[in-house]
Amino acid sequence: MTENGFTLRRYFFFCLRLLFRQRRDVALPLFFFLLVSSLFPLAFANHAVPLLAPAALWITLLLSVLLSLDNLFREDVEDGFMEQLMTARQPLGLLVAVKMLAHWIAYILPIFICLPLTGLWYAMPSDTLFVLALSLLLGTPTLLALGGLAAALAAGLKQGGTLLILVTLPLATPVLLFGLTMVDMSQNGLSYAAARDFLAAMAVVSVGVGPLVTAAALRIGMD
Amino acid sequence: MTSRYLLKVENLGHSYGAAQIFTRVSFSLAAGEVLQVTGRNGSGKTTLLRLLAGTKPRESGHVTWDEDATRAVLGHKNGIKAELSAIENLSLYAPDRRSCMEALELLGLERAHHKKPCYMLSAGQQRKTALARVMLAKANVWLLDEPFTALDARAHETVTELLARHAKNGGAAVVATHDRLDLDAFTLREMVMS
Repeated sequence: MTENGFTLRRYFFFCLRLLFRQRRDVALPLFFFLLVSSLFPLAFANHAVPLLAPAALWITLLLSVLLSLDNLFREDVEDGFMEQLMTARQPLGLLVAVKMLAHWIAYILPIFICLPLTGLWYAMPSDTLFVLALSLLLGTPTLLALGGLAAALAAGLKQGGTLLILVTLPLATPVLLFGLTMVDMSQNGLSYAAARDFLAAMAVVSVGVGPLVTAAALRIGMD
Repeated sequence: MTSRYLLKVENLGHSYGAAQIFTRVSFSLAAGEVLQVTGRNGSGKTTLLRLLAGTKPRESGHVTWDEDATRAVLGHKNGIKAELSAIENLSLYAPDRRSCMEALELLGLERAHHKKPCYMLSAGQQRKTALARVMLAKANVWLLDEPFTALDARAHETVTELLARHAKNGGAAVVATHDRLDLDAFTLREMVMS
């Protein structure tokens, strides 16, 4: 038996179009990132700001990602679209992966584009900013995969947003630590290759396994 | 009409906790047949359709689909995106804009409403958009859960005609509804959930 279906490409552009229509919601995590990251340079003494920058930006980005994930699957469950995804010809894991890619482009890519601006606020040297951006680039797929799993588990719950944060934050801690280690080693003139490779390995595993586990969680949640 | 089964269900059962909703449901569906599933509220019509659609894990029994069977599902909820227009919603299933417009017009959704975001459409118009999606899926088995919800009398008639045409063209459907389906005796089969 085959199901009625749509192509992954069409679904990808469908997701992007939908996110564009929801641009006010999509802009919120970006504004949150910019607003919160602008507070640290105001609150701390000038000499402390460049030292504080990696941790402040990493934590702010982590919270922005969590903020963006609340609606990753909840609306699909509420409006019945999840049922369509589950009966589509394409495996649900692949559709989840496509949705997460669109989510990354809509929510996280704009934050990366704004990173040079925040680098200016924190008076960060360009090489440190580069390593920070690289650590965030390697860390965000894992954050998204962990958050996506939590969002899938919380999709049908009324207080799902709180649960999402409570589940994801402890799991995301290793990503945060390795990301910060990478920047710290770079700032001290040491090789950050080990931390970079570990983050990259986590990203590869997250991208490969995350959507499948998330799909399974969605199926359980729909029961 | 061919007697080849598109769908065969044997001894299907489901429970929610200790409450057994239904047991030993068996039927088969051949091309050209429409199975109307009726029954009081809570008798398991929606659960049965979700088990057939595969969106709910089976507890007992077997569901066998013919290898040529393709299915389109219309659930209780419309499964359309409120921020997108009817055409944009349908473009996921059929990239050809013209066929999307034709399907919507066939169901009585005027052209003026095609480009409005779906949240601006009435419940009936949104239901028509969801039904157009089922049509565009070009599946030979339709699984429809209360398809007439919020539809006016004319649209009700149109959907019944579409079901008849679908069956005549070799399709089949399982329709959970409280409404009487006005189809000929060769096409319509009935099952009461109790």
